[in-house]
Amino acid sequence: MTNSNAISSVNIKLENIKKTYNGKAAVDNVSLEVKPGEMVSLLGPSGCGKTTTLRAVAGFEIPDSGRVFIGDQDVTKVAAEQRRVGMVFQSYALFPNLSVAGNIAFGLRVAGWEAAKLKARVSELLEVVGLHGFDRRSVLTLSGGQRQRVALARALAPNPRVLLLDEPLSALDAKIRAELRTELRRLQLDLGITTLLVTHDQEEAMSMSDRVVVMNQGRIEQLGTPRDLYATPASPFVAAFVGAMNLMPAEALGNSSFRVSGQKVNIPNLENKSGRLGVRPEVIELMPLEPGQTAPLQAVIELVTYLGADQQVILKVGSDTWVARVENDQIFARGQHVALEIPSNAWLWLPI
Amino acid sequence: MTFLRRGIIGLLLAYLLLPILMTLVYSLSSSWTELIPKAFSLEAWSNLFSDPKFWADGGRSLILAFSAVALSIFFLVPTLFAITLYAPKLSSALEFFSLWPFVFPGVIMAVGLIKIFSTPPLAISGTPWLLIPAVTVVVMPYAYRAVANAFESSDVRQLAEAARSLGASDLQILAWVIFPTVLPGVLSGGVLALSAAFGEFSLAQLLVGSSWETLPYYQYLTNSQDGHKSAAISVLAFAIAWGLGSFALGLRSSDNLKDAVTVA
Repeated sequence: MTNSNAISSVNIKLENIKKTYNGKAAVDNVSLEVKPGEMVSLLGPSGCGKTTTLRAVAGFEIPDSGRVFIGDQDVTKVAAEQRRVGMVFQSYALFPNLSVAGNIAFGLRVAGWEAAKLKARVSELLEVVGLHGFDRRSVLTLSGGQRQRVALARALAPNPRVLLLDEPLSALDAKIRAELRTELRRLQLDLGITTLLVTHDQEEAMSMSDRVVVMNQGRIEQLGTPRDLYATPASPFVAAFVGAMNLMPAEALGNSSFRVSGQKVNIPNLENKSGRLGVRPEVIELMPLEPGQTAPLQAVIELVTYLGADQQVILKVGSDTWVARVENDQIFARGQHVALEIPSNAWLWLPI
Repeated sequence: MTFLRRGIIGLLLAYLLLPILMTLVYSLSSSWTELIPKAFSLEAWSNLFSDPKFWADGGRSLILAFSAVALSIFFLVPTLFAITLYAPKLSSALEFFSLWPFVFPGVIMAVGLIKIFSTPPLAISGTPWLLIPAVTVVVMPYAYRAVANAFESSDVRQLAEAARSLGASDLQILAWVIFPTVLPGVLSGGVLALSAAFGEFSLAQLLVGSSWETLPYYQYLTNSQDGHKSAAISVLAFAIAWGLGSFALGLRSSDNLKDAVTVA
């Protein structure tokens, strides 16, 4: 990466953003700071307010109350075209009448760059997104992945202060998506540009960002590093949305034991309160049981799905269904009785 | 089944093409028995093409058609752009109003216009300056459909947002993004408007008549003098409409080709 691409990073700050549609709060009192050079994801199901939040930063939505800052500037009432933000859309939104170079140059034309500088900047960006030699191609002849690269180059060309990505990879197929994900993150780190990403794909959010904001019903459920969210989800919603989790109601029986899925388990390091117990599929180990043998926590195998790197086992524990991810060298059969071994520090306690 | 289908299609084609075919035959004949032509000649056609008035009137018709359609597109694209972006709820109202020219007979409109524009301050009755705006209104329903379809088939809202985040003003977005994006679709859909404007007779007769003669008026005058020549004009008008139509279909299929590439 050349130095001319280095961007002086600024932060994005949202203060108590509220936005209501037809009496329903789409964004309900959201405050958030994206630090200079940081990449933060807004993660959540559709309708959780993540897109509205992003669009408030872009200037396409004016919040009913609250303030938006980019760097030191209060942009709450600044028009979108004055904000100097780069935006990438799910549907690419390339200008169909312009060539690849024409699309990338659009923001530079608007800003009145002189021809020689403009040309140099366009070829620099073609290089950055790996589309050298594509300048004269019509954007209509490109694949989805190539189109999104053009869209990214177009957004970056006029040196925006921050980059906003609205589900940028959702329209692509799995392989291209994984490829572009890595590339996008690498480029973001190289440029050091402050970036806000909206996605409903938890894997995308976890793999690309420094911090993840999990949103639900217009509110922030939890904000933390991908590691934090996975290890210590703050609510059942986050636990279920970020990664897979077996989450069961649990009754405290005193003496550090709980009743869960009809069985009694001893978990010494958790506070003995009724609520929910969660356990990640990959921490469960399965031990075959001989006929007549019993274990503190046992299950019947319902289904085994071989996934290559490992295998997924669907278990009937009491009347509940659990999922375990185990190594692929063990052979299990449907209907087999197994003992579940779970390290006591792998259990999570969550409120109802 | 296929026999029945072919039969129905054949009947329909005959119903549509026979009158034009017979008009062509009539334009090429010099005398006629009760049922069939006795002798053929190219006299009607050579008469037509050698008449300078025909060329002048045809030219005026083209000017009228193209300027009326261009004007209606020029008004409709920014209007739909504004409505799409800032007042999407008004779009059904606009669609309703766009049909109004169909409701008023041309005669009523013409009489109203003459009444208003025959006296100062705007005494433009009898000039193309009144005819062109009037025809612009008449073709508005066709042009509206064409523009609205073109808007629907391209994501105007998203394109505008992309351009805006790159720093473009509304005017720049309209001129550099929206107009070029919707124009191919508008042109292919606008052929209907073009033919309607080209063939507009009642307004042309009442508003300008012989003081700014157009082709339909020329044909109206010819009708009483030479039926063969009039038939030749009809065939020619049909040929022009057909040519424009296939040109539009060509535009549309190249659009489809782009879509096919998009999907792949």
